[in-house]
Amino acid sequence: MAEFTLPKNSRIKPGKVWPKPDSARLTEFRIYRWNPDDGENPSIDTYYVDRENCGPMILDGLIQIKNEIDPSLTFRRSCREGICGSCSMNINGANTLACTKGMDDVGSDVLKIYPLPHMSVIKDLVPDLSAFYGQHALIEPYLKTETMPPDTEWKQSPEDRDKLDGLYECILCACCTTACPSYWWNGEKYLGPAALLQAYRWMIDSRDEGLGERLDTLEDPFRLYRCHTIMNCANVCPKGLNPAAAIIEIKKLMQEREV
Amino acid sequence: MVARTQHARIRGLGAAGTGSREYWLIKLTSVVLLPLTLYLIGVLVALRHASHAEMAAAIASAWVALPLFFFILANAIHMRIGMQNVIDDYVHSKGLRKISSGANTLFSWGASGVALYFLLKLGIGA
Ligand code: SF4
Ligand code: SF4
Ligand code: FES
Repeated sequence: MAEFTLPKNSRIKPGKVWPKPDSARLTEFRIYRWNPDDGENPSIDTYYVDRENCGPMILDGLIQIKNEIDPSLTFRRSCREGICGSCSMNINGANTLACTKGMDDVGSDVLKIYPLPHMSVIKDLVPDLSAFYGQHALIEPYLKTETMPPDTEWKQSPEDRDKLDGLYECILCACCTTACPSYWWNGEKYLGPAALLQAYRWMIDSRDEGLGERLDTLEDPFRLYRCHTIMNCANVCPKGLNPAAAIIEIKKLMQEREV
Repeated sequence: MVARTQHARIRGLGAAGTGSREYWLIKLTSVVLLPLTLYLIGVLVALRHASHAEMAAAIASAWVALPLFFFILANAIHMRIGMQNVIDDYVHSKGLRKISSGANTLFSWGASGVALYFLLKLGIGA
């Protein structure tokens, strides 16, 4: 059955409260900590970020904690401008990118930060995304053609290029997929919103010749049809994309060839 | 079956090649069931003071028997696929999946078969 409670060794215990830095303006960070090497249950550590010497984004706060308070805090980040998709995490109950979310934009004085939900944790805020990447690979996210390649590039009209808007911008941060209840229950068989959005991005690319095969790959009660249009994916996407709408378009293509 | 790598696990047994037909059927039956349900509720309301004999006569008439016939059929399909969706979402152990999917199919068609039998009995007056 679907599991609705955490296993015993995953239950969260209270953690350490780190000393307050000397500052007139502090923001409280409560952060999920788990270390695979110490055999302990996860815990919530409390840190205070000195806002007088910190950038405005939540990632700035995390970096201050790591640099100045606790170097063992582990999280992913790279671009710090919403383009690499590394710093996705669950902040005050919603998946988002720590680098594009301001500390003052969550509507609370206390920031509660957890790894992306319902994934195995590697350490602290770093989830295991290997299945997520595998699902992306499964939909073959590249141009598939049979026709002899042209001497120059494959051409596309501006109108056809426009069809990729709202799809190509995906940075594979996994905020959507890990917010999807259907993915929580069937993460090994349901491909999830990010992979399906990408599948659709290649289906409607005017240069692609693999539409039929792409549909075949998704013709499955689990891979595609676990989506019940719950819309969590569209609500959390930090790039403002709508995977649920893309999934509906895939279902329409399926109907077109089936009925 | 032991899947050795993440890649193999994600690919699993491949795509089943089904899903779209059932998706279409559940949508189609929703559309069919909506007016039928409203109509049959109307019939029930109209017959709320009827005696047993009047009720039996009403159900035997084509105006009620035919909508009821199609209601039972569409409902069987809709109920089976809808429940199968719930099973697919939440029931993960292999054995339990087989049992619940089988029970779901048998119950949906079985209950509808019983309903159709009594409808025919009333209609034909056997
Ligand atoms: S709309 Fe579909 S993909 Fe998006 S959260 Fe809901 S079930 Fe998941
Ligand atoms: S669709 Fe949005 S939330 Fe999902 S992976 Fe792409 S960018 Fe992230
Ligand atoms: S650090 Fe690259 S998206 Fe946040």
